[in-house]
Amino acid sequence: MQSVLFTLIALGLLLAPAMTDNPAHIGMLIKCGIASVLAMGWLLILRIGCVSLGQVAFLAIGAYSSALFSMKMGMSPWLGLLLGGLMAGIAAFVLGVVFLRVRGFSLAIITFAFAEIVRLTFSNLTMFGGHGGILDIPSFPSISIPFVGPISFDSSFSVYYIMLLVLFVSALVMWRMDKSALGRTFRSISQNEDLVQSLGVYPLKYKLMGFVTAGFFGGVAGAFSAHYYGILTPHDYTVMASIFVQIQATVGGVYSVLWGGLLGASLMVTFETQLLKVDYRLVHIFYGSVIILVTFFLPDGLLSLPGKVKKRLKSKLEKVLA
Amino acid sequence: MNILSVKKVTHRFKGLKALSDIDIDVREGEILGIIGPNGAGKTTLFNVISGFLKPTEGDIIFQGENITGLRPHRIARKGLVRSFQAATLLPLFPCVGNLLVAHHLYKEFGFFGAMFSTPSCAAREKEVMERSMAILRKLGIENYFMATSKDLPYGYQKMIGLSMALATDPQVLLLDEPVAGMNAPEIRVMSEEILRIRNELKKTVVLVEHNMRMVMGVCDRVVVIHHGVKIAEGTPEETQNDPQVIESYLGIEDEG
Repeated sequence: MQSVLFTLIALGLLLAPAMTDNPAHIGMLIKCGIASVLAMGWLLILRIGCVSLGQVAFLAIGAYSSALFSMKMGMSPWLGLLLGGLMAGIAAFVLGVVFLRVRGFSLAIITFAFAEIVRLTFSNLTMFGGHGGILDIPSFPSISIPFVGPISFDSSFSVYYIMLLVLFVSALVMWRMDKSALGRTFRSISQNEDLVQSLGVYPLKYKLMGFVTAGFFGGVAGAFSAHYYGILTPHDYTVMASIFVQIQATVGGVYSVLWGGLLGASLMVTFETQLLKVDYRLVHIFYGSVIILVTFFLPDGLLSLPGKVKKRLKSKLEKVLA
Repeated sequence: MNILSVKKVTHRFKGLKALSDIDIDVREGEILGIIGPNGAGKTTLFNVISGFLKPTEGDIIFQGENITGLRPHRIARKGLVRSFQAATLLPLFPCVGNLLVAHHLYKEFGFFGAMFSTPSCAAREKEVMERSMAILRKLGIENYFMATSKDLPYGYQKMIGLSMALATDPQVLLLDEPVAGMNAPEIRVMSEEILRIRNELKKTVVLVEHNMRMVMGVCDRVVVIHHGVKIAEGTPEETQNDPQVIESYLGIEDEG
């Protein structure tokens, strides 16, 4: 069932550019992809018992480092994808080693503070471009594949496939992590850390695994977005953006890192894009009302909906038959 | 042969002296009961032994090795495993999930093994699953293996908690109030299980308990703690008749 669904979605995503010739649609899909990677990372961090209020910090670190590496040191944006991820992963590691011992709300506040420090550093230091951000970031250069010839990435249709690659790899890794013995250990730590410690599990080790993985892929997504959009401003990485990530992931549901992140982020970004055409102020109202509704009626997110409907129908049916 | 020794352990919370100069020797293969009125420092002592608290002074020697100040998971790894008074389970996991996590030390898995589901890791998962199901079968709740653990009857929750500690294959088990809140039949089952752990599995057991009948029935030796001080030690009969013990539980006899 899940593999059928996965194949269908993968096919749909692969063929999406063939179905439309409007670059705006592709642009929206790319936005969905970046948001999905972040939302999956948020859910993975939730698995280790941390509510992250600073998810875009990883995006920012990845974007800035890849942009600066390519502009100041002439590095290829392709390498930048990896370097951006590495920088964000290192930042996650350093932050995690020090602060993942803290539990609960305090940890959430720490991630929030971390994101603000990152944003303020980028916006106040001229070496990072200051408030104006960075302009003219080089885009992905063409690559030449033997027997196939050169492939250029000058249209959003072709860049779309880079996003798909990033999305696919991050989804695969985070999905495996979630569904394996690692994910089980993550979840056990978030439920009763003292108990699993007494069973011989070193919580910090597993927390770091989840945290750094989420950070790494956030950074890769950030590096991708920098080269795709060509400009960066620190205003894209405010706390509100982090909270949007959290809302997207919560809407999708905590049942599955992969499906929750993909579904929630894609759905919310699609609506957001449509609302932006009407009035940008509607976006905040939309996110606010959605999170209130979801918290009340579907606290486990959209993924819990089929199960709930089934249960409701079953009890109705039993009443009718009785 | 002493498998575990607590040497001159003192623990202070700010000004409060929760434990002072506690000396306890645990012999290999015995069931040692630690009793004392509420607030005597029994749980603090457990926390100090198992590494959740660092003693202000003194040493913990386990199998001839000083384990004072080691982190809890390191101590568990050495074969000294504790259970908890309340919250003995992972509340959101199905009961089989609890046991799967408890087998962490039984056979460890690596990062890449888990990520790529290598044959050895898959075999490990399968074996751990079978062992967990076998434990549930023995408890007679095999059919409820997917039931959320907090929905199970209390007695079963405690039994699963004990099984989890056992699954790590420790040399010494520290049980924090294993029968607290249980009814009489459940207490009987738990007592028999604790005796079996010692007799058949040859483990050493240290338990803290308020239920005197259970302590007197199960333990080989008893240590009595009052206000963080060890006031008596000996067989259950000896300690029961110790005037200091009676005084600590019932108060001083009125002379007037």
